[in-house]
Amino acid sequence: MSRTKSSVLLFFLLSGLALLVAGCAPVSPAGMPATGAAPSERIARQAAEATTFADLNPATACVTQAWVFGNVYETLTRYNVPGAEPFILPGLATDWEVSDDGMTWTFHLREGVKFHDGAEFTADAVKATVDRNRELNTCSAYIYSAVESIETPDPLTVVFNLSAPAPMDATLASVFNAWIMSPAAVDKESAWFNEGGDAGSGPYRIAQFEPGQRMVLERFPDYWGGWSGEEFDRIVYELVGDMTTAEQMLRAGELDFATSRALTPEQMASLDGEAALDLLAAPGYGNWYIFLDQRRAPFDNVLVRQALAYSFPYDAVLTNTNMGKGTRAHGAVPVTVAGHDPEPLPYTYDLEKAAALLAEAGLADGFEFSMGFDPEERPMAELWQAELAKIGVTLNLEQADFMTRWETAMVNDSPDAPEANTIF
Amino acid sequence: MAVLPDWNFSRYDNPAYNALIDQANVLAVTDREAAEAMFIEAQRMLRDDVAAIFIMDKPDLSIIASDLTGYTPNSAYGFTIPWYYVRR
Repeated sequence: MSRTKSSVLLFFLLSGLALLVAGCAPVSPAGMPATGAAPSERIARQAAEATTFADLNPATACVTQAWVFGNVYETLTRYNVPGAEPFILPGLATDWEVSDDGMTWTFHLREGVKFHDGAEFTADAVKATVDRNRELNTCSAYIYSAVESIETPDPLTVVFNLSAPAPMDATLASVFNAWIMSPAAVDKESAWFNEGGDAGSGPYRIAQFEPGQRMVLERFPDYWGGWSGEEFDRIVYELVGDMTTAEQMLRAGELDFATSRALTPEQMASLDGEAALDLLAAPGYGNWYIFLDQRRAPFDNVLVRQALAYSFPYDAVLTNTNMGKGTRAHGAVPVTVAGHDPEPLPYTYDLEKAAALLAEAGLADGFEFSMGFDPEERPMAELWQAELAKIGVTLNLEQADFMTRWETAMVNDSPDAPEANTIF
Repeated sequence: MAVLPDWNFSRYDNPAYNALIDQANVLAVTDREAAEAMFIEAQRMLRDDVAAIFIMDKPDLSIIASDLTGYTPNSAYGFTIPWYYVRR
C-alpha cells in the first residue's frame, strides 16, 4: 500500500502536478464512502463494532462507545498508562486535595472550558453529571456509592463528601459513567444521544452519525487545548460487518485501526506482514483463569488443586494463544493494575510433581472432571486435556458461550455445571 | 444468598482473605503503597489455596497503520485512541 501511494505521488511530481497534491498528504483512498470531507483533510478511520453505537448516552453506555467518548467527552481525571507516574493525571480538573480521613475530596476545575453546545464548563456541570449517572444507576454507576453529597462552593471548585473513604481521584477517571456532560444536555434521554446528540467538551465533536454505518467526528474549534494544525481533521468510526471486510479494508488502507475483536489471529498475523500495517500488542486489563469449584470433590482437597496447577502447560498455552503476546500471570491482579504481585507463581508445568500430589491425595489412578469454556479457548482446553491424560485425569470439554456458562454455574448454581470454568 | 459471588466460579470463601481485601480497599485512599502490599498479601492466599489456576495476563491486540505516531495504548481505556494526540 505504501509503495503504491509513493509511486502515485512520484507520478504527479514528475508530471509537474506537484502543486495539486501538495496539500493532500493523506489522500482519501478511492472508493471510500462519502464523509463530507474535502480532499485535503486529514482523516483517521477506526473500525467500530455494533456496540460502539448501541447507546451513545455517556451516563448509561457500558461497552465500546468509550472509543468515541474518549474523543468527544472528557473526565475530571485520567489514568496514566500502567506503571507510569503519577498514577492519575489531570483532565477537566487541574488539581485536587483529599482530607486526612479520605472522606472529603476537593477538585479544582480547568478554566475556560466550553462544551460543544456553547455552555461553560463549571462545577454545576460536574454535579449534574454525577447526579444524572446516579439517577439512572446503570453500568458502573456504583463507582459513586460512597458519595454522600456534592458541593459547588464556586464555579471552579467541586467538593465530594463521602460516607466512607474512597479513591475519588481514580473513580473520576473511570472509562464508564465519569464523562462530564453539558448541563444543557445532561438530562436528555438516550434517544437524543442516539440521534447524534453531543454533550461533550472533548477535542472532537460529532459531525455526522449514520446509525448502523458510521460516525464522523470533526475538530471542535474552541477546544481548550487548542489546535496546532497537525491533528486529524476528522475521525471516522466505520462499522465493519464481518472479519473478511475488516481485513480487506485494512489492506486497502481504508482503515487505520482495528482490534482483535474484529479479526482472527490468522488474519492479524497475515496483516502484520503488510508494509503499511503493524501488529500492536500492549499489556491489557484482561486476565485468564481456570476456576475449580472447591465445594465439589475432589477439588475440596487443596492437594488436588495444586496437582492441577502443576499439570498445566503454561508455556505451550502462552506460545499458542493470543499470538504469543500474553505473559504468565503472577496471580489474580494483572501486570497493568496496581497491586500486581512482582513475584511469579510457584506452579510450573511439572507432571511428576502433579502425579505425586495426586497420589498423596489418594488419587493415583486419576479422576474425571468437566470444564466449561468459550469457543475461542478451545486450543487451551485441548492442550491441557492432553497433559492431564498423561497423569490419568480425564478432562471432558464442555464448550459453551459465556452467558450460558454464567447462568448455569453462577445464577442457577446448577449441579450439572462443570466442576471447572474459565473466565478470560 | 441474595448477592451472587460474582466471577468467583471457584466459590472460594476465606474470611481472612475477605477481611484483608476490605481493609486494603479503605487503605487505598490514604496510603496506596501500603494498600498494594496488602492486596499482594491477599493474592498469596489465593496462590497457596489454588483459588484458581492463573494462566495469563492477556495482551490487547490490534492492527494499526504503520504511518501513525503518538498513540500509546492505555489498558485503562481499552482500545480508545485519543486521536487528538495522533499524527500521520
